[in-house]
Amino acid sequence: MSAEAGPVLAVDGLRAGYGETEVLHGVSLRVGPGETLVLLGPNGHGKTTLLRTVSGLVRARAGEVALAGRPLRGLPPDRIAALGLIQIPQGDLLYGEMTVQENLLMGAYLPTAWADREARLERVHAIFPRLRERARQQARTLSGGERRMLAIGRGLMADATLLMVDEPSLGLAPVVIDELYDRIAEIKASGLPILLVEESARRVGAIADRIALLENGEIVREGPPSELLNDPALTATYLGIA
Amino acid sequence: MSAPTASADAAPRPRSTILDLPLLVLGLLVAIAAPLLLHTSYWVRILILICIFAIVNQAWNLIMGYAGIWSFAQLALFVLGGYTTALLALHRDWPLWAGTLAGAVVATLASLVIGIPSLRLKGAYVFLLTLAFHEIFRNIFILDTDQRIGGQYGVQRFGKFDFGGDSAVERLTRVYYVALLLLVVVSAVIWKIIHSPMGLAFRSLRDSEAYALSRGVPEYRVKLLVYAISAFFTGLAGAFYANYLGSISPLNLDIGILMNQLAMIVIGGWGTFFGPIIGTVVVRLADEQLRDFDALRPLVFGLALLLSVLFLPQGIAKPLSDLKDRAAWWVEDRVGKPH
Amino acid sequence: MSQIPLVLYQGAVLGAIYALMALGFTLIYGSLRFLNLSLGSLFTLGAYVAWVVSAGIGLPPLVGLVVAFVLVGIVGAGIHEVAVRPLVGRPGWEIATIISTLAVGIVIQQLIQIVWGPRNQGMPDLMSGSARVGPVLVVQYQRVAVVVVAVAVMAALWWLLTRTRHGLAIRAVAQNRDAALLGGVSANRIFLLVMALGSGLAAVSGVLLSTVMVSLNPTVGLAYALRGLVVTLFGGLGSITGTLWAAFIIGLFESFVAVYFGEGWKLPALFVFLIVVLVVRPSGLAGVSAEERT
Repeated sequence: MSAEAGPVLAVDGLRAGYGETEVLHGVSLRVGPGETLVLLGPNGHGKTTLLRTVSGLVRARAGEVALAGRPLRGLPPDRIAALGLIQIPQGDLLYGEMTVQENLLMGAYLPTAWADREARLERVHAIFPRLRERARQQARTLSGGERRMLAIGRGLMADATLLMVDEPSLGLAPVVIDELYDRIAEIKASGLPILLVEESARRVGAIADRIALLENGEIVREGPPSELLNDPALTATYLGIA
Repeated sequence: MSAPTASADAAPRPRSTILDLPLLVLGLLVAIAAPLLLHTSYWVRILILICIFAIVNQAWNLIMGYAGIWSFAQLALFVLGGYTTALLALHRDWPLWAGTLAGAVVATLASLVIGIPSLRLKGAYVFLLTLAFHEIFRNIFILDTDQRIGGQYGVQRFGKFDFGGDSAVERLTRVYYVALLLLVVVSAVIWKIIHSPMGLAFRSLRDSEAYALSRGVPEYRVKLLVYAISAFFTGLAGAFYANYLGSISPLNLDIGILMNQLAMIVIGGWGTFFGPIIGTVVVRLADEQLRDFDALRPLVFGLALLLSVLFLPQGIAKPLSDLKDRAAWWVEDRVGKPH
Repeated sequence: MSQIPLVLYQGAVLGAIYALMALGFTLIYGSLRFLNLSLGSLFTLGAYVAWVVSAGIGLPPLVGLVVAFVLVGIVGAGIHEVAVRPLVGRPGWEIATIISTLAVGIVIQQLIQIVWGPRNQGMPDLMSGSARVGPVLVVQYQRVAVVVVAVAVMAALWWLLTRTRHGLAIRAVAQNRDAALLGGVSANRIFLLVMALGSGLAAVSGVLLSTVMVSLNPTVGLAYALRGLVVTLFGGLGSITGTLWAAFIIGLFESFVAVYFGEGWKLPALFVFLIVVLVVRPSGLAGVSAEERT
């Protein structure tokens, strides 16, 4: 929706890792206004590290990250979130001993979002009616699918300029994944740019505007889904036989 | 801050051991000569207390600094050793040397009573449980109103160490040499322990519990063992202390004394081998200097403790050892590496 | 048997005061994962501040209570900046912060002694008068007022933690720091807030206790800090509801020991009780195993 000419998210030559091992060896990517970029890659090749580095939880060793032209490198994660880069983390990272409602409200922690929290709560409840039913329940009592909905719902409570979603299908039953992707498609339709990470290409075809492959800490291919998802060499790896 | 990793830095010069032996010998010579140079009862008494508290602090450092056990029952074990020898001498006519050994053994047994419920737990829990034992212990004496174990005044008149000697100074000097010998032996044993496979095991537990556990280090048993060893030395020091003074009382469990003791190992440098000894000397001497400003003493030690934790995490042992390294390199450059 | 109303009455008063103290420990532990041992002295400092305001200046004791909460809260935030924040994250910082806050506690206690002297002081009552209830029990209005104030403070705390932005953030940081950071919460600001709040609660606890004790002196905080710690561990470190239960159970236990065995046995009995509890159930009242709570 913004009027900027450039990309919403620009990552250039990003290097990061843990201790002595470097996980990302210079990753560059772009997400344009209203665009959904799906990042595919096998487990342990750096997808989650990439998101955690972009959002500031892991410190970058080199390279630049910019959100709507504003450089982010070196900022702490809370400042980055305040600028509108919202991450829905792997494993959900819910507040287990707080209620569903309180978890959602924490998504609207920043002052402008907090002022508007009731309306946002309505909106999230409209997308995930289950969360309204469970409002007073403690988050740790939720099922896997509900937890994922809550994590996404919490992300939607914020003023997002861009949403980063880390493996939304992880550990969920196929029916639940289908429902979840329907919801993500709705979010995409609202015009919010999305950077989504998955291990399997199975369900991303419908929502991806572009797909990038991350292997061994580097982007090895990038292109429209029509091209990548029809490449037999790739479908063998990313659609799997499982 | 986010510059690429500092691999460009020159590799630090390896430590040199060239001065270690000379310094150790020098230190021992100073310790042996000290009572002859400071030939007054006042100074020799201070030297004796330094030796006794240095043993307590070496034993404390073994568990706090090396094994990562946050035990604050140290003084309780110390006092228990003292009471054991005092009561055995008073009621059972045990000789003082046998009472001293008994004190060490009783403290060891007590450490098992404390350690078995505490050492499965971690950090904050160990701290509080051991402090709870300290308080229980202190209260047992305070509540002993019919004075079966001496009540709040403690036990006196059960005898005193006497290793002979013509004058008061001479007698004290002999006690001092025995205390010094104990300190040297205890330190040597602790050095051995730290550098044994078990020492490696508990130091790895302190630094990375997850790693050590994954390598199959039996955490609980190792901790219990090192805790018992530390308690043996602590009880020994406590019994020696009681036999030297000819009295022991619950005043030794005063929270101020505990703080003083803590200041010694923190300011000296816990987790370093000589830190506790250096800290004992420094704090003890400072304490003497502050005699005339009694009311200010806790304030000064509180501030020193705070500043030390904040700015000298490894105590004054660290700058001293850096200094030693530099001196050793200088010597090395002059005379060449010994091989 | 006839003593039971007395046990319940005294237990409720003690429980209410211990709860405030222990909530300070548990809020701080929950967020920052360390024991703030300066709380014992801040407990004393709070009582002295209220004493100056009410006995010295002559304002109502409740004003003294509020002033103590605010001033000691600011001191607590200062302690965080000076003695805690520089250490957090260093190797061995958990024990380093225990020692640094203990040292700060000693310094504060000594300063109190220098400023106000070591003598006992009497704190003015919140209310005077009493009523006889049944054969053994004389209820002093003063003590009832203490319980009412303590419960009101706890209710306010509950409202803060469940209804306000920063209160929710305090719990969020305690439960999942990464998630809170990703939600835009500045953990450092929350830590500062928690240290101020926990210190303020210790101060309120000190004010209330000194109104039911006969006297106030610079060293009172120590024994109560120990009790606060026992309550905190018994409740399960970091758990707020567990702490509340533990405070009242321990208040009752202490008052039972005091009535049937004598005042002097309160503290030792309490420690034996704690040791037994932690051996049988290392997690305390509230769930999570102590072995997981590093």
